[in-house]
Amino acid sequence: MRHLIYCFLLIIGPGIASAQKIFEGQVVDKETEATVPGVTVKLLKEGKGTQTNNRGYYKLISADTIANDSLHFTSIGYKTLRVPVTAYQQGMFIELEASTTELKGVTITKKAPRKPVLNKFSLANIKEYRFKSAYGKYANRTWPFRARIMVAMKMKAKHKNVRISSINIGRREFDENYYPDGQLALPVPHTRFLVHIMSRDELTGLPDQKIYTKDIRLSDNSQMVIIDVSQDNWTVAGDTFFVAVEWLRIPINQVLQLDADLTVSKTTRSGEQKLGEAPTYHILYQPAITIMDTKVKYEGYKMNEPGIWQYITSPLAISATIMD
Amino acid sequence: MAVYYFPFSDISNYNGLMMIKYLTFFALMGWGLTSLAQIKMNNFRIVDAETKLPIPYVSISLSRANVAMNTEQDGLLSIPGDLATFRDTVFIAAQNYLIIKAPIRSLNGLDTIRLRKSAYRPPLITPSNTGTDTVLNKFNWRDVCFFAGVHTENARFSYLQMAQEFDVPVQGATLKQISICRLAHMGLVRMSADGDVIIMNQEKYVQLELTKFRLRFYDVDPRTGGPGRDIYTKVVEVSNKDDRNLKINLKEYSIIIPGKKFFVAVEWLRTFDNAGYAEYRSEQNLIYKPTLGMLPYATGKLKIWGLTYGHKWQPYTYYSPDWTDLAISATVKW
Repeated sequence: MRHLIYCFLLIIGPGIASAQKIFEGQVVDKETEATVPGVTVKLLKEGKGTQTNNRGYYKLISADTIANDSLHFTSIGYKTLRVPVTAYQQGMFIELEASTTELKGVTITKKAPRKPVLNKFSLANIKEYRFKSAYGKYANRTWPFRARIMVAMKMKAKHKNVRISSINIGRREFDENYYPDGQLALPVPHTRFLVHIMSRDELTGLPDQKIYTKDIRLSDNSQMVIIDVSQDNWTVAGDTFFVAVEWLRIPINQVLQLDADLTVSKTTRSGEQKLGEAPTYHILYQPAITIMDTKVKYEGYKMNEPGIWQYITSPLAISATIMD
Repeated sequence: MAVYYFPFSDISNYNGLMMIKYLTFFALMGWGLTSLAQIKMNNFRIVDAETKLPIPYVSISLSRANVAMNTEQDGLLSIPGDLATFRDTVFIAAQNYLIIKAPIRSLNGLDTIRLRKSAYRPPLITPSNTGTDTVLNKFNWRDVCFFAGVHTENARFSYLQMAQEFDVPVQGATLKQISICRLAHMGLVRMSADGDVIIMNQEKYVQLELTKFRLRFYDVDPRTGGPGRDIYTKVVEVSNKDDRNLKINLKEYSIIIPGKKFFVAVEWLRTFDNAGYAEYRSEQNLIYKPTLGMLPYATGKLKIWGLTYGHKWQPYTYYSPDWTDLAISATVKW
């Protein structure tokens, strides 16, 4: 009988272990795609809950996920959304719809005023989406971008004297592009980087002077980073400017990426070389900016050597929202 | 996948690791590799002075050149070059033996190095027995995403051991278990948009993540506040192939903590199975597993110490002020 119990435990053991799950992602307004802070997120049957932070990010560790449980997202001004745990996907955006209140024939709808967005991108463009390629390997529709020093994306407004309201940056992890044979890197939520507004050199068209700078520190896996500068009075005289991200090569930004190479581990007396695999750890520096899943090309420049800008057309997820 | 052929592996019957070790010594001591064929090899056997038996995993380090290596199981050590001309201090150390600290030129002409057993034995302590279990420095291994043990462009990682400081409520507590989070990818679970669960379980990762190391336990040095004397003299060796979160049951060892502060250290074994490279495949960039996790929380007090190649314990400030603790927890009973 005891042996039968052990066998039973051995069979169901892995199933119990795999029931543990992390639910994380960002909650956004369905219409404006702005992140929504303060949303209550709850696993209804398990009873675990949390709230989204100021980037609309939540992380919920379920000790023992119940198969027919569901995630509930509730916030004042929005309709409650229920997502079955079976429908949850890693890193998915949760889109909340604004609720409508009818008061004696008057309809009140929560609606934020639209502001012009330069180099606009949508959540669909930055959403991580792992799929199985024709070769049977897993790939991602977006790519991580990093420069050694800086990247600057050109923004052109319809008028001069532009006042910037916010900077949006799409961010992702430095994972391998092909599963499971590629290089491996764990997701690291912590990063610190600088965001600059730079002027444009009239002669060369290249990024010139840093006009404004903000030091950004993140400690979650949010893919959409909205940097609110509406209170900072960031005003650019002309109609063209650059939004730049500067990498800080500091320990907190380091991500270890594992690779494997064959090396000679032993030479026999007859001269035969035995090969063995040894790990090689590459160090990548955060943040990884999302190269979007779009065919649109943007004008930008990356700096890998001090003072040397290189032209790029990668559709980097960096946009600027301006006051109309 | 690149195949790396060691350029000098056909000139001797030594295995690759030994050659790598020689070259590491050379490269870091400023010697030209082109003259390797003419270089004298100084071969030593490190043995117990009383039993004459070889001592495995003896640590040999040079403080000025900032290099370190181990003997293998056979206690053999080879140092290339004319030792009489070297200007450096060699440290030869093994658990329970007195450290040899000497000018490296004093090894010239020797073929055997004898280590004498240390007479020190930790004091006998009556264990506290209130039946309370406490986990010190408790952490969630899923939060661990920073690691110590790899050379970076900011600093070289030159430590023989790394220790985490613990405070325990009473004297005489018994150490029951240690948990260590290290960098390993086996079992990492990903999910595709199609709902497929992708688990890193490829055979190659098993080989890459094999590790063997030793655990050391210290009391506090009242002069420095860092690790002091060993509080346990038996060798505690840990082997693992693929766990990211290692749980080491210490019940069988009956380790009693004499004071209210103690240290748990990982001692790296510089063996081929533990060897890896940081960034570029070169002898200077050799590193050794395990790479130890850092806790991504700041506690206000740095509790990590590293044992340098010059055998001095120093606070490990690489991640300061952001992170202050290693991902090592200790379960104590008191």
